[in-house]
Amino acid sequence: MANDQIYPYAVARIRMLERSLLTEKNYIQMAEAKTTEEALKILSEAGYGNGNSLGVKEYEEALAAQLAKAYADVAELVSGQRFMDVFLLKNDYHNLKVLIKQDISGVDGSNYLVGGGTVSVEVLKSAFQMKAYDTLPANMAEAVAEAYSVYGKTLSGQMIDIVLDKAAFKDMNATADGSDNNFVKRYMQYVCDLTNLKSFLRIKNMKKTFEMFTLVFVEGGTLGLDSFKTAFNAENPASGFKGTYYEALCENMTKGFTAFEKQCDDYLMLFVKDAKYVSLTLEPMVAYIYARETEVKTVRIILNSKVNNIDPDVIKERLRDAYV
Amino acid sequence: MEFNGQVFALMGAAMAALAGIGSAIGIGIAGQAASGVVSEDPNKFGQVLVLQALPGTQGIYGLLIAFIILLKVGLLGGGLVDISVSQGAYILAASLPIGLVGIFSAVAQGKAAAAAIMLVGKKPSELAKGMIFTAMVETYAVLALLISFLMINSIVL
Repeated sequence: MANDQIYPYAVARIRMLERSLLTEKNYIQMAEAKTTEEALKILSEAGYGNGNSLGVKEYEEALAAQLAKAYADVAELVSGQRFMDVFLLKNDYHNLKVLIKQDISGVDGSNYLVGGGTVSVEVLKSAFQMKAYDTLPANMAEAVAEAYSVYGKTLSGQMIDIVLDKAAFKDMNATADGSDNNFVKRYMQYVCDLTNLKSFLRIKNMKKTFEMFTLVFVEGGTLGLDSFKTAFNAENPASGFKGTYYEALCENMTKGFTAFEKQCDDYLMLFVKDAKYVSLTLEPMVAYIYARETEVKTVRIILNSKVNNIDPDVIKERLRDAYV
Repeated sequence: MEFNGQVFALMGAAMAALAGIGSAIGIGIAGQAASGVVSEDPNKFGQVLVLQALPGTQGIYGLLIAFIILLKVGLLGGGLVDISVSQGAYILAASLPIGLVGIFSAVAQGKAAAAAIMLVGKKPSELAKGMIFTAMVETYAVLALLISFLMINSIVL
């Protein structure tokens, strides 16, 4: 660690920006708000939407803007570092999925496109319009070609998702491996493992076969396919992960998928929180992005629940841990 | 020119002054952190400036020892006194504590100062605590200064 490059300016900026992250108190206030409007008022007071009051219809934009700002802030601070792509690539591949499906189904999917990828939405769109996939980065072009060919054989939209998810993880893993920072590498390992654990539970709960799981399994984590196989055939799936980092986490598998998903996010947050005690190297930047992503996710959960009149106590059970 | 103790004595003075390298690096690190904080909150300039200046003391200690050496060998008082090779070597040895400890402690202090600056950025009321944490590193620079000073003082020319 001693030879890691130091970024005093960037970390100091991030520490200042962290002050604007929402706290657990904010979340609870929002969850307990009587109406969606009241929850949105708390949100805009906390800095969303540039201090303008937010309408019920505009909050998605404000959330997207907040996330885009976080990406832009960090990118500006550590230009020349590629670790950011670990976070951005998932947006690219999401857009690719949307565009492929739009192409196949003929239904306009523009509303589902998200900003904040490594390739701008316009470039992606024009590549699809002109069928000039070689204008995309090589890995993406390859993934798109594969998705089309797999779809041609299976005619299954789900296979498109599977192919692109795998490609996304491959790309993200390669980016993390290329980074000289161990925190980034470990973060990515956790993401892979947790993704696999979540797919595992989902497939198990849907009573699908293990073959289905091998299709969606992503490489790059510490848990191998063998542990999943053992767990899959065991009566209590958690027993398959005894002795791994995830032993305690997997005890939650019996509580249902939504609860487990929350536990997974909190688990990753716990790891990321280590960055609070680092004052000069890259870690706080990585942590800040994860903190913002989780915050936006949590706010979206709260607001969507509010719009649908869900009981505050149920909302509170779904809140993710806050970074600050 | 005949190779004598004066060369060693001057090397000693130069060595002591090198503590300034550490201070420059330390203040540089702290300064970057200070800019980061001020970029988001310009009102904190005064508070972070105090912290940024802390790693500067090592350079001053080095300067002090260098001055004492130069006075002792008579370079500042007109005309070098005659010094034997072993006397010159004593002076060089005496300059090592502040020269070396100065460099490393100032870099370390710069990092502590950067962290304290971030602390003040987040919690302005904790300035005093941040200063104490940063000043802890100072202890070892002061100890080195003391040893260098005692050594030079007891060398008889």
